[in-house]
Amino acid sequence: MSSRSSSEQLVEHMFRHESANLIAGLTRVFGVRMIDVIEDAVQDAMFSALKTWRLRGVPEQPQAWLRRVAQNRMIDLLRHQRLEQQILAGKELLSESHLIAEPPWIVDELDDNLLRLIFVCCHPGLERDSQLALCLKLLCGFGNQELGRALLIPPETAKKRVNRAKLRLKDLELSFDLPDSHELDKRLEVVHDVLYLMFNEGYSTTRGLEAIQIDVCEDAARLCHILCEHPLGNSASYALLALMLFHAARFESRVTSSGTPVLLDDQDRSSWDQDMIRVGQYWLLRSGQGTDLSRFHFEASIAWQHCVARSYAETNWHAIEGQYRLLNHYYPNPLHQLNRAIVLARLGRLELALEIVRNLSQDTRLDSYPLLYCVWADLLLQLGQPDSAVQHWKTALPLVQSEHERQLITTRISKYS
Amino acid sequence: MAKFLFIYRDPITRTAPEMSPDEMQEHMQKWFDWLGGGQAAGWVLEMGNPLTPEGRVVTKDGSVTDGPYAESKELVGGYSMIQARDYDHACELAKGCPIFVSGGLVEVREIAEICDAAS
Repeated sequence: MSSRSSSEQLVEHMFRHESANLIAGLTRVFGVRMIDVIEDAVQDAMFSALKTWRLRGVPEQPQAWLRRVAQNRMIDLLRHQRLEQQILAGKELLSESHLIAEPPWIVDELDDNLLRLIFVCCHPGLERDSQLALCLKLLCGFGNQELGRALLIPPETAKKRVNRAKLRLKDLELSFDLPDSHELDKRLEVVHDVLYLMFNEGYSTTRGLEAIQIDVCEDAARLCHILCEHPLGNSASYALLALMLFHAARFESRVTSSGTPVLLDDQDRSSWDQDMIRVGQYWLLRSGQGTDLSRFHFEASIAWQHCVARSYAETNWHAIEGQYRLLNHYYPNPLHQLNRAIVLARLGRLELALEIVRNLSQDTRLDSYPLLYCVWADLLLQLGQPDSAVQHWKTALPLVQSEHERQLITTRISKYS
Repeated sequence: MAKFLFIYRDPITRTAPEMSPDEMQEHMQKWFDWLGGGQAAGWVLEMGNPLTPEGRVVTKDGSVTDGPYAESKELVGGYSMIQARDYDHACELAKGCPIFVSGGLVEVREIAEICDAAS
């Protein structure tokens, strides 16, 4: 019997992704305010699968199996909670005959359901950290432990954050419908921001490269891809996906096997994923076909310049400098300016770079941002002022988070003191 | 070689434990590796079957009650048939079972051979 072979292998993260699919499908039918019951039903279905499949092997259609069990469990739980009547009053859809057979709610509309859930999780009435936590919990199937590791908070805090977010969801009386067309652009912007933030959570170099972080990045790209393939996706969605792919293509070269970050200059360019870069280019091209422009267009273009440069020295720094200037023009942000200063220094325009950094130091938003002081120090060093450089490294030192960065800065201080 | 039954006893819980989907999948993979490895090595005769958590108890007077029954803290969740030299060997094999991670235990029972009694 094929289902009882001795070497069963499930698709990686099948449970995690299927949990998101099930939550999205059930939310479509039962509504956002039932989210707690839905989560319980899905968790129960997953656990039944574990207990049955461990001896029986994986059934031929594992997803269909899970759907059926989750749906039946949902009905059990509702009956148990005597909420059934309440819901039936509101939705005719829920006649029993409709539900017992192969659940219809997921087969052809999976991406649509997931997309709706993205819009629910990214509701503007939620705090940004709630939006992010909900996405990871409901759309990526993360448990509290995993959530804590991904967001660098204790699992208990993660759990509280999710619960608070879910209470808020219920307060907002959300519908699972997609927003009206005039609402849509605004909502899409929030979705983009959350997906971007999610990707950056995983991408941050200061934390080494744990498996969980790659998962977070992959999931952000997966959700963004669903958005891009859907008629709702716009050119900003395409640019965002391109940006993610260009970054992800360089994943492996960014950290050594022992977890130490590798600077761009030293990365092994032959290990960059050329296929992923090509897919990114496809989306970047598509993003250019519309009339609107987003910050992701600029950021993707910059990331693309790095991907296609044969070496660090041969990088088109002039183009990158121009992109940062435009980016900051349309979307003023001290970090865009700081990045531009780094590129200007690379082009030998040290005085201008120094002037930008000096101005930035007045910006309170960068008060505790160690990179500002590190860039400042490097500029001063290049201008032949090691004493002043050491001062700035000393300012940066208590602000850095990773041990690796601390060592890097300490070495420099002792070298130039 | 003697035949043994591995009876898997899972802790009785009303709700699914707080395992994340990834953790469940990982745990299931351990079962596949353990039993699959046993199959490849030849000591697993039959993967066996899972049992549903519901159950009924029928007594002499004809009364039927719902399970889970007995005073045990565990519920039989399934069984497998294996072969081993003796009890020590069978228990050694049972120690590899992933059920301990999730708080369960394995009951090991030798299957009585008819021919033993005849000889």
